[in-house]
Amino acid sequence: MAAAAAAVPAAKLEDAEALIDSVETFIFDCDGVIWKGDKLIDGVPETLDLLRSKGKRLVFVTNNSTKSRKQYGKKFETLGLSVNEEEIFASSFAAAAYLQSIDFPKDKKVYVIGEEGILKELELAGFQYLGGPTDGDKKIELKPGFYMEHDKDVGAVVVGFDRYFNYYKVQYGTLCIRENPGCLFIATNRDAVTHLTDAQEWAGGGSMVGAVLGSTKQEPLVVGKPSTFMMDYLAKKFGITTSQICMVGDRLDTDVLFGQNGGCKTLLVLSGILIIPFTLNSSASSAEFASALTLAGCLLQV
Amino acid sequence: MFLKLNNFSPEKKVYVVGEDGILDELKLAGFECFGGPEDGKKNIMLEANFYFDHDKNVGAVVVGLDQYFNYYKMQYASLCIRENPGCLFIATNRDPTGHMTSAQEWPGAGTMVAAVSCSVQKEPIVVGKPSSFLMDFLLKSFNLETSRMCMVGDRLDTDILFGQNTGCKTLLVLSGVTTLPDLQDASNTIHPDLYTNSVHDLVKLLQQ
Repeated sequence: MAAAAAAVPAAKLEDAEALIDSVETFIFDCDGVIWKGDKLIDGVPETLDLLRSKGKRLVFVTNNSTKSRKQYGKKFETLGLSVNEEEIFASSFAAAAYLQSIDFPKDKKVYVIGEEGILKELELAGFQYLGGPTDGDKKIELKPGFYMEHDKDVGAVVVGFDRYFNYYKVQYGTLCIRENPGCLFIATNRDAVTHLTDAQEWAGGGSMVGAVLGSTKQEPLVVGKPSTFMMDYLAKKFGITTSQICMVGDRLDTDVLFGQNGGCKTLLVLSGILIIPFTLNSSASSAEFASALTLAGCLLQV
Repeated sequence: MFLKLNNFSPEKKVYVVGEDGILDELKLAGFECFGGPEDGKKNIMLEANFYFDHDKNVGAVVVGLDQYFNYYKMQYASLCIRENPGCLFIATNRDPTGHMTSAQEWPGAGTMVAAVSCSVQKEPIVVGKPSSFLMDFLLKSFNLETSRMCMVGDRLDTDILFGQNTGCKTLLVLSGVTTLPDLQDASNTIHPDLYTNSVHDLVKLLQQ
C-alpha cells in the first residue's frame, strides 16, 4: 500500500492540463470545496463546466448525512449547478447502500441517531427505521423505577451528525448494540468538525459516534470517508478503476486519506477547513494542492 | 480540587458539561462557573447568518455525567477548548456506563467525554478513577500509606485499576457491573488480589 513506502511530500498544482488528462473522473468533496454552508465557493461553476466540456465524469461525495441525495440535488440546483442525483454520494446514501450490500433483513429495523437524510435513504432502500429527529424531544428521568424499553428487532444502529442529539438517543442506541444479538453499529462518518454555516466550524458527526462508542466501548463500521466503501461502490457502478480517478477535497484525514486508501490521485484545496498557511507533511503525501483562488484559475487556463 | 491544586486563575471561568454536583463543588472552591443543567434547554439555530458566540474567559471545561447533554453544550465546550488559548479539558471520569437506576445500566460520563474529545481531537485530563489524582489527594490530606489500604469496587477498569495504580490491595465485589465470567474471561487483563460476592461477606466470614 502507498503508505508503506517513503512519504512523498505534496506538490503545488502547476500543470493542471497534465492532471486533467491523466484521469477520467473527478470526485469532489462538497463542504469546503464546492460550497461553504449555503454559499457557493468562487469559481466553482466554471470549473465544473470546464471539466465536463473535456468529457470528464464528475462525482460528488460528502460525509454530511443530514440530506439525502435527492435533497443534495436540490441544493446543487439552488446554487445554479447542474448535477444529476446519480452523481451524488452522501454518507446517508452510503449507510443504506451498505445495508443493502450485506442483505440486511427487511424484517429487522434500523435505529437512527441522525437527521432526515438518513431516514429518507433508508426508506428509499425499503428498510424499516425508528428514531431520527423526533427522538430529540424524548426525555428520560433517572429516578428509581424508571426503565427504558427498546425494540428487540433492531438489527442495526446508524449514527451520523445529529443536532437533536440527547441522552435518550445514546441510551436507546447503546441498549440495541449491547443487548440485541448481532446488532450492527454503523457510523456515517467520524468528522470532528463540520461547516454547518460558513462563519465557523461546528462539532461534527464524529462527536455523536464518539458518544455511542464511549458508552458501548465498541468500534463502529464507518461507511463514509476515509473508509473506501463509497469509492468501491461508485467504481463498480461506473465501471472505472480507481487509478482513473482524482479525489478533490479540503480535509487530509477524510478526503485525501479516502483517495489514497482507494488508490486515486489526490488534490487538496485550501478553501475549506485548513487555514493558510499550514505545513504539508507526511500525512499529505502523494497529494497535490492548490489554493481555492487558483484551482479554478489553474484549471481554467487549460 | 484539581483546579485549586493547579492554581487555576480566579479571573478565569469554568464551563461545565455536567450536573449540579460539579457546579456546587466549583462554587464551594470559589470558582466562577456556568453551563450545567440549564444549558440543556438551549438549542442552536443553524441559519446562514447565525454565529455561535462563546465566553473567551473560559479557562477550563469540565465534563462529567450529563443527562441533559445536547448539541449546544458540545459545541460550546468544543469552541472553548479549541479557541481559548490554554483552555483545560478536564473529565471527571470516563466510565462508559453506570447503574443510574437499579434496573439497568445507563450511559456514563465516558459518553459525554468521548463526544467532546472526538470533536476537539484532544484527550482530557481525567481526575476520577482510575487516575491516581484522588488517591494522591487523600494520601496528602490524611497522611496514609497505600500499602495499608484496601480498595473495594465492582469495576475492573476503574476501581481495581485505581487500586493497583496506587499500590493498594484490591477487592472486587460481584454485586455490581462485573460478573464472575467477566472476571475469568481470557480477554480480561485486570486481576484484583481478591474477589467476593458483596461487602457483607466481610462480616459473614469473620463470624465463621
